[in-house]
Amino acid sequence: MTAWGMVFDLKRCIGCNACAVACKQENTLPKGVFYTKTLSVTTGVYPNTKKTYVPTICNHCEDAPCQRVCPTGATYTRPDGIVMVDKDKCIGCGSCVVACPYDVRTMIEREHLEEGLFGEGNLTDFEKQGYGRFVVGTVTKCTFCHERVDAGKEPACVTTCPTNTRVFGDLDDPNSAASKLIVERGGKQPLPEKGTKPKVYYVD
Amino acid sequence: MIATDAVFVGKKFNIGLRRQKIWGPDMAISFFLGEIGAGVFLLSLYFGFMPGIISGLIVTTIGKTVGHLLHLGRPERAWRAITMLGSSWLSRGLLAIILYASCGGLYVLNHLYQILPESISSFCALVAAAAAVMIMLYQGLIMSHSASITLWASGLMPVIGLTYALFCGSALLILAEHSNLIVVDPNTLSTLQTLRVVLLTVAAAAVWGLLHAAHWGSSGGRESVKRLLKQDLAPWFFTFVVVLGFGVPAITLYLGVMTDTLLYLSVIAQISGFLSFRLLVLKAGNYDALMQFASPHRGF
Repeated sequence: MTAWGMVFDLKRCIGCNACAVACKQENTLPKGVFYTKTLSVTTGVYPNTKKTYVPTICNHCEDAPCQRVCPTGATYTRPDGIVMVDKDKCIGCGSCVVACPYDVRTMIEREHLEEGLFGEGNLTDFEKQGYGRFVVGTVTKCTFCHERVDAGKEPACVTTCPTNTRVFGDLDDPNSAASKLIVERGGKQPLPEKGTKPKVYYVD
Repeated sequence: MIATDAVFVGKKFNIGLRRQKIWGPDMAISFFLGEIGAGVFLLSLYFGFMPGIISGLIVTTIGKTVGHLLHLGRPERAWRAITMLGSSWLSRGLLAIILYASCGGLYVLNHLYQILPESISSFCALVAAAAAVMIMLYQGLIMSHSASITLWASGLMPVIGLTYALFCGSALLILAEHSNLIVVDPNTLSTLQTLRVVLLTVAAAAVWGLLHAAHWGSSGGRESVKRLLKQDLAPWFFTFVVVLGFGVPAITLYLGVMTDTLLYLSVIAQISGFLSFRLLVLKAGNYDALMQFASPHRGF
């Protein structure tokens, strides 16, 4: 079986947000909607401080709480482990948004699709075409760029990352770059106490 | 890995606590109406108080359903919510509401027009009563299954829903008895008062337990409790939930016999306490900060 996952090398991330831009372009994400974010945290006491960038994304959990609570089956997991949302089945109850411990799901509001990202906010042709993939009142989230993955490519954020912070691969294949990185560097999962078994790992 | 103090970060791209905003007052009011209606229905059914049965049915079926439909992003697809009975408490709750409305409605219709055999009418009452208990419980079960929000992720959530619902239901029944709308024999009334003392004690203990578990559960839970007890939500929590919701009913239960005005005030205080609890608990819900990392569960 294939189990797509991603590893973030925190030592490499420089917080440039190229991944977020690539994601917004690939998925035509409206203003205020992000599938991936690069969060930052400052630790230590002046003058000995350190800033760390932590990229975040849907963790495509093996025991996805969003899927468990969904009353319509709109949230489902593909055989390759990618957690998806069927916008035609979603009723917009918000249960999945509440249940996701990583806060990576967004409810599409009417305002999201009315304002463009550029100039005075008028929608460009690119946005008009791209926003057709969203339905107001339904939930959206990262899909690991499933169309690209199906075509044998990596997600847009991975391809774009200038420092190779993001490593995408099959976690069921011990020889994949992602699996090797997890083994060699001791990959850790986020918020393990939530019991979601994420397929996103962090190494530092 | 990262470790620092958790702070609220709002929409900033920083590591920290975030408030849940997807479930607001509309959901809290829907939860409240569902529970209080089911509580009134169940106790009225037990005591044979038909106006209470009808009121409970209307409040839960119409009030709760309309509230939820207003909350949904795609209300025209609401029927789909019943399709995942195997995994989703929301689906199971919707089934309970359908059974409650249909069987409870049939029971009332039969009481008014005698259209059904007695055995079927009794069966309808039994199913509606079971569905009412389910309605009192399932909302708490939905919330307790959200491990993401520590304040809610407690098995005490359904206990609170059940006890609050029955406590408020019993208050309205006492009011009906006091207003001579229903005749309850003194022994049963005494039992009802004892039940109210038990329910009040259990509800108060469960609320305390919920806050205690959240405080020790995670940094997000601790901040939720801090907001409820010490920060912006504290005046509301202490005034409505503690004083009006628990204090006033406790005093009236202790005093026993009282005037109509005091009884009405006591019931209003109690119900406002329950509604405030529902509103404040949703408002105080936080997502934990992404600061905990651990070794993989997979066999690497």
